[in-house]
Amino acid sequence: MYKETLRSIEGIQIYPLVSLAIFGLFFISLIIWVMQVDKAYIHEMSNLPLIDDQSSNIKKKGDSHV
Amino acid sequence: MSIERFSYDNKIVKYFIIACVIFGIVGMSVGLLAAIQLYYPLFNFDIAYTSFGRIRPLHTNAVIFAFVGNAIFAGVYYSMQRLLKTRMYSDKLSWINFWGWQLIIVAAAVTLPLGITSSKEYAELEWPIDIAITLVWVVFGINFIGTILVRREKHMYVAIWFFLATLITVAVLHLVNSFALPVNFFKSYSAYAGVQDALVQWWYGHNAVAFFLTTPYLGLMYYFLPKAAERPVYSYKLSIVHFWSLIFIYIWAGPHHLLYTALPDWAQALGTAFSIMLIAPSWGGMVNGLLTLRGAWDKVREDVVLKFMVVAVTCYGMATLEGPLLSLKNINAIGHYTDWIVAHVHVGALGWNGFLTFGMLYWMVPRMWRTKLYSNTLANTHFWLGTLGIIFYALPMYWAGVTQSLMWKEFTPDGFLKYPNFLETVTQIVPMYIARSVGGGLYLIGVFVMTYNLIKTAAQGSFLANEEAEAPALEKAAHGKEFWHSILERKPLLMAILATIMISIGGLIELVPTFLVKSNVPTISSVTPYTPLELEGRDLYIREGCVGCHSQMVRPFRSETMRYGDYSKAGEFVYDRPFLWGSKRTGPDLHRIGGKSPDSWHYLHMLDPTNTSTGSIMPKYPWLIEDELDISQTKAKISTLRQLGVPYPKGYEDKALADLNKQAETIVASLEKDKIKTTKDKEIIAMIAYLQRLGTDIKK
Ligand code: HEC
Repeated sequence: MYKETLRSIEGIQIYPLVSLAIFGLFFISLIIWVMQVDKAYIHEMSNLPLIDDQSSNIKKKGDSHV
Repeated sequence: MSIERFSYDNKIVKYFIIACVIFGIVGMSVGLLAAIQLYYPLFNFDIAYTSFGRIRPLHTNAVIFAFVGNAIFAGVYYSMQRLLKTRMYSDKLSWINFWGWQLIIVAAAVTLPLGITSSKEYAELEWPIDIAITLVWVVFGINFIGTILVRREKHMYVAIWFFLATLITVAVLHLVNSFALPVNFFKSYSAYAGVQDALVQWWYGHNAVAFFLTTPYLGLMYYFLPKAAERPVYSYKLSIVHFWSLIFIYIWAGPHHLLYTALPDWAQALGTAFSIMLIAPSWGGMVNGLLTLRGAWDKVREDVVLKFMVVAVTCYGMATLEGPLLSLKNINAIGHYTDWIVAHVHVGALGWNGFLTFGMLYWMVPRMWRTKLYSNTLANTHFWLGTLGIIFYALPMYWAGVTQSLMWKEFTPDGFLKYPNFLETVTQIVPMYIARSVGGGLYLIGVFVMTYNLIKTAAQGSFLANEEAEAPALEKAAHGKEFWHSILERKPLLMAILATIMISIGGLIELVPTFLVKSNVPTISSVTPYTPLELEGRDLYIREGCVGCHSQMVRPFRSETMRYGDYSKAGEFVYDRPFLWGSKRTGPDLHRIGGKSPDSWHYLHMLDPTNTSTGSIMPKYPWLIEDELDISQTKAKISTLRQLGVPYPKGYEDKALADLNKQAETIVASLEKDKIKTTKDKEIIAMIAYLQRLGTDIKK
């Protein structure tokens, strides 16, 4: 009975369709962007967590590794 | 380019670490207590404050918001400063964040055992605490965005994106789900009712898992795993795809918690589709984490931090494969309401959240205290205790879940239920409950070992409260060729807005039809609002957390309609604020309990369930028998509900108490017939009124 109720809401089917379409478009653009992105930039980004030690590594003689 | 000197704030991280460990121990101990209560009801202590229904939300809130919450803050405050090469924007805000969060936790630890609860899972706290959470979260947000604005590193590493998505989404979820109209300082009624309330709640519940237990931890993984392995993440490109597809898809998958319930088919189908799609980005993330260690597996064998992280990431992969599978209708039909879900949750919680936290702590503490870890042996002991703990927890729960589910559904050749007595299916799995608590116990012992190890480490080191650092100031003007998304990174507000839009679309597409439903549900004409006495009984049911063991949602399966009665219809819940469908059947479904047994049965059963059901593991509720019902708020409750749209006639609140008394007298009379003497002012009378009303409207 509630299913009929929902179906009677005008244009109800559009919601799942819209959501899929938006996601599809977004995902494709994302993939295209990722495929053509500059390698140097990616390299720089992926090293960000590691370089923080070097640039801020003053007075850190005591810093030992486990 | 001038080099600027500054310092990282380690003290705030230290405090969050301490809070994380303390509340971790508390939260897990309460969990262990709850686990023991399930096979040894004696451990409910026959006291209201410690009975299972009240303890369970205390456990979930403590481990999620206190243990994991403080771990998130510790990790975010540590990594963010270093990734952005700046101290946090404001020390003052950092400390308001810290103390505010701990106060909220304390408020939760006091109110939940007192039975002050909204009963919505993972959002149980009442409205004043909800407001406090909002304020503290805003403080965190200002500090967070402020830090991004004063950063010295122009690019924002992917971990920061995950944190940002967490910040925004948690705010949206909390606000939408917490809408309620207060009756007084300690009680409110949900702004949503029935099906609508359920949809909003599980949109929240699902995304709380996504954006409190997953995205912030992915951010931590993307920072601490490369740190510990001393090598960059396997594929940064993959991490970008991981991020955007994860936050996009996650938010759409909420309805899978309500499969086979009175939820419209299309919403269920949408939830399922997105849940399955979710495997891709999740596994992308897992693979990315594990492959970061390629060629470094010899390191994993030696470094306990990496060991913890490898298990954590593996558990993330397992849980995120299992989750989507559980959203398939036929698997869900078996798993839902059973201990399978409990197993699933704990693979995520103990494995992913717990182990990543431990790895992070073992990594941070020696560095912040400028020393080596006190004992590698103890850390390895912790690792094995924890791993065994997870196995001993999860396997019995999978076994219990599947066994019980099959027993619920088994028919005799003549077409009758093989186990018509629900309790039989419970006693069957009690050994599994015992095994589970052994697993939980091992895991908790591991945490104690860690605590000792970390304290010793801190004691032998010297804490560095402000860690000196230097970095060039950020150039203001951007030039050269730009990618759209590096523009995004440099404009954090734009990025925040985009992420907000992203998650809102998913929410809206799911929620808009939900709000349209209300005006479209033809109220089943025989469904009427609760009488004042039933309403008070319902609020007792909420107070005691019966929803932690009992569902109120009969699914349209033959095995369920035979056991419980007619399956539940959406129109039956239009006056349920909040909805009480529940998510776990430790006891039988109660939606059609009304009229099943005489009032006296319920009286004796609540006094001591073993009176009527030999071997029952339900707690005793002697205080319901003894305590007087508080009717001082009845009037206010009626008028609050009318404001929310429940059709009590105008001025009814003035007649409510008279009606309440009249109905109470009939129940007292019926009890008296069965030789039970009590008075009409006791809580039990209201509880019986509510139970006897449940699910009877459509029979009228
Ligand atoms: C620890 C889990 C647990 C909690 C908490 C719990 N119950 Fe139960 N309940 C059970 C189990 C198991 C059974 C089946 C055995 C029995 O009849 O006692 C049961 C049975 C029942 C029954 C009988 C159902 C039937 O079909 O005959 C009712 C009514 C009931 N519970 C009400 C409550 C109420 C009201 C509360 C809260 C005040 C509550 N329960 C809290 C576990 C629980």
